[in-house]
Amino acid sequence: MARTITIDPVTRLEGHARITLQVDDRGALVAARFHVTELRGFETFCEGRPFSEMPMLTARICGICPVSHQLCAARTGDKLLAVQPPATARGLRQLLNLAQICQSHALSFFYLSSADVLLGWTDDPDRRGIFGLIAADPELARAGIRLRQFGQGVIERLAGRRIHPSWVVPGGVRSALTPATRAWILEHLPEARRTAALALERFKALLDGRLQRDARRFGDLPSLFMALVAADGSWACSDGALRIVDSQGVIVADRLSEDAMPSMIDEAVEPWTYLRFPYLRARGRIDGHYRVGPLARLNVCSGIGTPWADREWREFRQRAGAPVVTSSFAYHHARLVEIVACLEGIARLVDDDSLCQGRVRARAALNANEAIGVSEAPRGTLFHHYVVDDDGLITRINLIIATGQNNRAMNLALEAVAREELPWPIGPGVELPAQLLNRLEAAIRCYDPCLSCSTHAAGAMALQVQLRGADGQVWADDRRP
Amino acid sequence: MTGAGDGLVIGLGNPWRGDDGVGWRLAAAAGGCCVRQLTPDLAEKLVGPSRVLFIDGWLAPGGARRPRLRPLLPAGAGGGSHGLAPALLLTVAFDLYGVRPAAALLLVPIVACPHDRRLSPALRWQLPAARRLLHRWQAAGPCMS
Repeated sequence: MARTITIDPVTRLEGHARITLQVDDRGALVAARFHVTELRGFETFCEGRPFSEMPMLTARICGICPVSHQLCAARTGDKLLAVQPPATARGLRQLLNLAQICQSHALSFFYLSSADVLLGWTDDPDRRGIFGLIAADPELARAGIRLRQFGQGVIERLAGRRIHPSWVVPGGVRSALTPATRAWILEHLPEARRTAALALERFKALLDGRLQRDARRFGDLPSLFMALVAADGSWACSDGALRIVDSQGVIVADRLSEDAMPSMIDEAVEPWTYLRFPYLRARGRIDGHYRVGPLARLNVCSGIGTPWADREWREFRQRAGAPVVTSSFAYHHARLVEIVACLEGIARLVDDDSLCQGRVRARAALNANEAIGVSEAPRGTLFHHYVVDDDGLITRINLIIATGQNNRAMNLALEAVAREELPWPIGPGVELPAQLLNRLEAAIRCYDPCLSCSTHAAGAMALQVQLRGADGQVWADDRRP
Repeated sequence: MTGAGDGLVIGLGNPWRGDDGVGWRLAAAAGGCCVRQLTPDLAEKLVGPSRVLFIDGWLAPGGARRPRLRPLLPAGAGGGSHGLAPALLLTVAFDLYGVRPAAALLLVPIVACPHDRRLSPALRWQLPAARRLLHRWQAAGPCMS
């Protein structure tokens, strides 16, 4: 008898979702699906608003990564104004982005995934979040909480608020780095570095032990990887060009401008989820899926550019024993390497006296009616695409979010874990061990999806509404193509 | 800090959502800490004070009309990390920092939470009573908690 196994809700995500496994009459897995069950509608209500409001409006998409949307919106605004922000402003935006990536990765690793990674798979579900870590390893939990506070503290002191600051604007930023903020950052950096070192030490010890198998095989799947890189090919989170590599490490596209995005990327929709499926047009819907985010950034770049992070990056690649790391589980390790990159980047930037002085904003009137901005958010490459009228009011907007770009990979990772971990074929009435269901959820958490960011195109979504009676009969079925 | 010895007042709520902002307002007036929700990082603020008072709006079952002040003990485990109950924050503070301040919870009955900064007339009637309980807690020693 065919049946569906449902995990609802999936816990410790930013947003709401469920997982279903569909099983046929013989008990074989037919499909594993990650259903995103929330819809936001942001793109629609941005229409008609001035482009200058976009950094503030789009920041409201999310309370975790508002800074990422602000930076991308401001970058898009720069292009509508046709201005290059002053060097001071570019450095300050980069500083803000590094702090954002640091605090978001700390949230993902310590608050959401630490139980999966550090405590094993069999614990009581009530103890599997940050509270499990607090009970099991208070020293690491304390340090992780303070690492996130450090990232948030940099954002607050630089931009005025931890969440939804209004400091980034088209053309630059509102103010320079103050000596007090610089002193605060310098005072707190050493503790943040110690925490990163402690987390890496604990994590790598587990990779050499209990997590050895997971590190290579958990949600392992081939895909393309896309991220920004600097002009010399090194890791970049702000200014840069897009590079795409395949699972063998071959660069299949390089030095791409974000302006190529509409011709390069299309978005598929499915009736069972609000999350879209972006793919590379040239390779088609199935073969053209790609991954973004920490793993992609470390696979795509040719180095980080700072000493400690470079050492960690080389070790990260060497541990995989392949030119490219393909296991979904490696996202966790990649986040820790990126935290190191962020801390070193922050140290380098605050050492630059020019961030405390000089012009921080370029001003101009509207000089273009369409622009695409790009930046690296914690979860991956983020695109904002605006079309405006001659008064600068938004007439069309499309946001391509990291979580959406990882959507197909999340579904494939789920299927890979389900095939690997569950005792197929499954007969009626089989009891599924809790730890196996935890591993399915963990496959999704590897990607740290931010669903509130990535579900907001009401007009483009295929929508199906079914009304079912208690006996399972469909009483009404309405769908929008 | 509230200025009342080493007591810490934490107000919970959203000041943009009508009565939900009552905890925020009372804590702000008392020089306390105002938050929309309790998160694990707040546990660090409990290191130092010997007493802590949480103030929150309360959708009282049965429509209770009077503010209540009651002692609070550490309790609870698990759950999400974005919105802890006050008792769970006390547990986190003990687990992480080994501190256990004497705690109390001031619950103020609320009526409506529209998109509005104003409090409902019914709640405004209760504010003097809520302030009296707050001042009583501030004036009292640890035994009050």
